[in-house]
Amino acid sequence: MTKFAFFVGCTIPYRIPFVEITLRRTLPEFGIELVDLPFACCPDPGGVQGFDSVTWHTLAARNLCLAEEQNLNIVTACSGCFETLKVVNTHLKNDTALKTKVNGYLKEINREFQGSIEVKHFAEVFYDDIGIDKIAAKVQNPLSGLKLATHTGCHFLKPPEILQTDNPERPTKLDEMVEALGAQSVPYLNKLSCCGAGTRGVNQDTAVAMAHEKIVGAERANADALVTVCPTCYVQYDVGQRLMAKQFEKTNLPVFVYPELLGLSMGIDFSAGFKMHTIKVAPILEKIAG
Amino acid sequence: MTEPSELLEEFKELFDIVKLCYQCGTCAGGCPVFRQYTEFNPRRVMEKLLLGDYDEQFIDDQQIWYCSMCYTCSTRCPQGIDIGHVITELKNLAVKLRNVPPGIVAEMEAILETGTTAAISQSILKKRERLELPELPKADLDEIQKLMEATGAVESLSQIKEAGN
Ligand code: SF4
Ligand code: SF4
Repeated sequence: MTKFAFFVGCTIPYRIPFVEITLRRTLPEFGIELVDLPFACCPDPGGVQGFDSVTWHTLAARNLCLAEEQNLNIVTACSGCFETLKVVNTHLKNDTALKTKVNGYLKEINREFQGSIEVKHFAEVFYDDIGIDKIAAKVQNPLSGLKLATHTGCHFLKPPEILQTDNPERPTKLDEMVEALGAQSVPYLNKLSCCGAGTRGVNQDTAVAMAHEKIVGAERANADALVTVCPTCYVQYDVGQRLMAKQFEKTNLPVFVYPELLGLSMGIDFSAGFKMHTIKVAPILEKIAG
Repeated sequence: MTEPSELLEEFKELFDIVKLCYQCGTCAGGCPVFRQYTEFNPRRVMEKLLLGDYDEQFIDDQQIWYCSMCYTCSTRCPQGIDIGHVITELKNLAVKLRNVPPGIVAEMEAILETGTTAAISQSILKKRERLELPELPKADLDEIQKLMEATGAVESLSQIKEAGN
């Protein structure tokens, strides 16, 4: 077993907990053990960094310290948390002046950033550590015939010089990951575009319009569903379709987070969670059952 | 509160980052916010910085807060300018001018008071139970508060409140 500190974040446990259970059930099947630690908000790379970059670095450093003290690398369930923790970890490892400043604040709580651990996104653990072949080997119910629009999302990819996950302008890992499950990844308009969540706190209408153009692109490409590796993008697209219906013609595209589909193909029962989606996923489940 | 004259110095530091901008508009062309809401235009933000057209008014209309932090602009700028970072710096300056959207203030207050940005309702706890999810270890709020006091975030928040924002 490889042990990781599990950074589950705020959005998943307290908004869409059915995503949390899919990671807690699938990762151990591949020899990954998850350890819970008393983490706080990552904090949010948009709002908190925008408010005060130093506070953002300092609060993130506290989270990194908790994992360092246990000698554990971090795996994040959320792309926003991933961006924050990996960017701050990298900044503090490379910028001595910033590290000294932040460690000055951490002294108040008797902690010190060392720079001894790494931060990974769950999708990196699946793709890079576990690997496509091992994923494919676990598939019992292939998702054959399912056409998926993949949305990798900004915070998994950018800033690329630090995150180093995939090609930021032409990401392919998620496509390969869904194809390992037997599904087909379809090209669609605005595939790379942002979900708009970062603008939600300032102007809801603009944020909803940003998500809407992607849903329309995916529907026009005849995708059966959209799949992402980010919980915030998930909320924008799934719950967001209700808000879109107030501004635009109604859409009805089921949305998944990758480990839900992985679990489904592995024969793990996630039916309780599937009922918690806003856009009904039953047609997809029926299609797979054939 | 930081004096406006000190802030001007900080604007000038940003000029050093953006001075290579030749106004090609690639940043705006790829900006997903601009596509839906043309009042927000990253090229224009750069232009204002280049022209030295920065005063309190510049960040007074809250346009910069529309940026969703997707970094598409930073990835594509032919001059290698990290526009997303420049806008983040502008947001930090706006906070010093006590000019922050209420949603961002609420988020900061939630972290200070609960350690999380999510509202933990009884119904969500029931949902967790139904999904057989474990109870999560709670963050030490005393630590969060001490850190936010040390960095000055608590002070900023109380001044923003006083200014009636
Ligand atoms: S892409 Fe770069 S050079 Fe072109 S306008 Fe934007 S900031 Fe200036
Ligand atoms: S980071 Fe901001 S300005 Fe740049 S493309 Fe994204 S939303 Fe537009």
